[in-house]
Amino acid sequence: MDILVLIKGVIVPTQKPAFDEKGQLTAETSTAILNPYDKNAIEAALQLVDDHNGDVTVASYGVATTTEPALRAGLALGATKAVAIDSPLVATDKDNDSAIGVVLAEAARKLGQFDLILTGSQALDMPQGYVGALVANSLNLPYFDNVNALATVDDELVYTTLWEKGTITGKVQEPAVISVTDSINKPRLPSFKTKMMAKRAELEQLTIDSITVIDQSAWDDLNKQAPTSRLAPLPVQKKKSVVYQLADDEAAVTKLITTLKAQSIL
Amino acid sequence: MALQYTDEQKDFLKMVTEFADETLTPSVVKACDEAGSCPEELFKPAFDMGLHMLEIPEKFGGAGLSYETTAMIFEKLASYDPGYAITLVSTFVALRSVMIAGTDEQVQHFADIIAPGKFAAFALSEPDAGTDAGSVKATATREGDYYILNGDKTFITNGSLADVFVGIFRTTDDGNKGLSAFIVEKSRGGITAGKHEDKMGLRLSNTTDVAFDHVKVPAANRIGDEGHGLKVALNSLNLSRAFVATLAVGIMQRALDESVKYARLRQQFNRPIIKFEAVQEMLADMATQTEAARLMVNNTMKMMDAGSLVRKEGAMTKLFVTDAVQKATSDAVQIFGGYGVSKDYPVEKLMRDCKVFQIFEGTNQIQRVTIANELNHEYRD
Repeated sequence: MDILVLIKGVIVPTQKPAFDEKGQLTAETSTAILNPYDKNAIEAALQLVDDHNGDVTVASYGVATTTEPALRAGLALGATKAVAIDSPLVATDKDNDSAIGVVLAEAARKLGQFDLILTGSQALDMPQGYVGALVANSLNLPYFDNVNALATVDDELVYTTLWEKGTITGKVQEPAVISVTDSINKPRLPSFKTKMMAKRAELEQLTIDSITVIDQSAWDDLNKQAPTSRLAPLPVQKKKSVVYQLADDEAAVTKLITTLKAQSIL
Repeated sequence: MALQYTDEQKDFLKMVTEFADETLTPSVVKACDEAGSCPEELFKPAFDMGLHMLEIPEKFGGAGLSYETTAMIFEKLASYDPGYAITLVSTFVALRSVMIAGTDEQVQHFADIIAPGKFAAFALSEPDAGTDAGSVKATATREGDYYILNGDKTFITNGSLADVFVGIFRTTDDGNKGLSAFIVEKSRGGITAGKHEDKMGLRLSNTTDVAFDHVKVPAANRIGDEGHGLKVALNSLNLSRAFVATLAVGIMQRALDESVKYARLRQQFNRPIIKFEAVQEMLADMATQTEAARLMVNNTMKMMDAGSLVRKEGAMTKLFVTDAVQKATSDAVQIFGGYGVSKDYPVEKLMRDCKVFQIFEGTNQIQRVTIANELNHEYRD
């Protein structure tokens, strides 16, 4: 079973994000890590490959400063091949997720025949979680969203996904695209040996310079889309402190309650 | 800390911290300490990560890290539990001792046994051959293309866990020159582990007697020439001394961490006890000694990476660090006061764990002899 896992490098969550003049996260100034949800997708892929043999390829779109740490982390976990994807065709660059979804689909087509394409259910920094749907749509493949169990039963791949009244279980007809949740498994820790090998590994470069998976007119429409969102850091709120000095406890409690109620905290 | 870690080393420390936070939780460590043993499955994640083969070259299946980086990783691991760490250290030191004088085929054979997740042990000490390693009585008798091994070894770390041993046996009566080293696979039969020692510290680590009863090994299992066994043993001890010192630094750091945290919280006379000079002195000494110990280990590891046998430096490092850890852990108990001797608090275990560090891998008394002999050698005309 050959599996492609589409992964993303995200900004270290504990790091204060930097924004450019367009209101976009500036990856260049930030340290990127592998999106934690994609670790679950890689783990799911590795477990399936452990059972059925085959290869796990990880691929990531974007600039080297974000793709490289993610891809090397993927290799350290046990992926056999890593591909950095770029494309001069994406007009609005990193903020056009719809176009990027098509580019990823095109990359998947070019990289060969895969039995499954997996993604994490969302990125840590951009939680819309529609890459999987975009890729499946562009490749005309079935899509299984937010899958939290994936196992082979009698040679058939069975998925389970949560919904508000219980679970949905069904069979996956391969090839297919699947997004997995962070509850599907507990990702393994990389070994020191694979970590060392991943540091030295050659990353394959793939430039997408033509789109064949969707019509040219549909691509033009998607690619013209303006950024759907503008990022802005939360405004810094000035902290106000007030000190009341009241002689008796009861008056102090009453004052505290009145003050908190006045600010709609209570 | 005075050591400047590279990005790669920081990355590895993060990995081992994440691993230890998950695997060696306080409740797990406490249960193993109380039981005086450790379930083998607790080592599976360590084997999966390759913690038992960190500094083994990649061509033999290891991660190929330097001794320096390996020591940093093991210091961190020992701060969680030194018994757990020494189980893994003993495994790779056994493999390293094959590398000292063995052929590539022997090293590969040994590495292939432990790589998938098996333990190894180094079997030198005997009831009457401790510090006096040259008085080993266990014998290896040549019979055609085989040797027949007989005798009892004692205080063997990983004794009942190991699937493969490096054993020192007497091939002739020629004193120190009559010893030879052998790879002995458990599967050969005739190897029996005795009772697990009920120790005061390092209780998570497996220590047993091991009896060899007519164990037949091919002559191809002999490491190096006949009569070179003591050299293999002593060179292997140089390495393991440096690593037990590393583990002792981990214990010192843990003692410091626990003591500072406690001294900041514990209130007496309406202020935290860290505000009292008597406590400050103990903490400052502990921090300074820990830093010095870490630097000494680091320098020895760098020398080993450069190919030095560290006869003197290994002995000096082992001596200094394993003496320093006694005071650090004793002071940690002192700072905790009455709670310090309670098993519900973490520091009494540190004090129990560290005592043996002055004894094993050559007592600190014999380290002084080694250092003095090396000095005598250095200053000769």
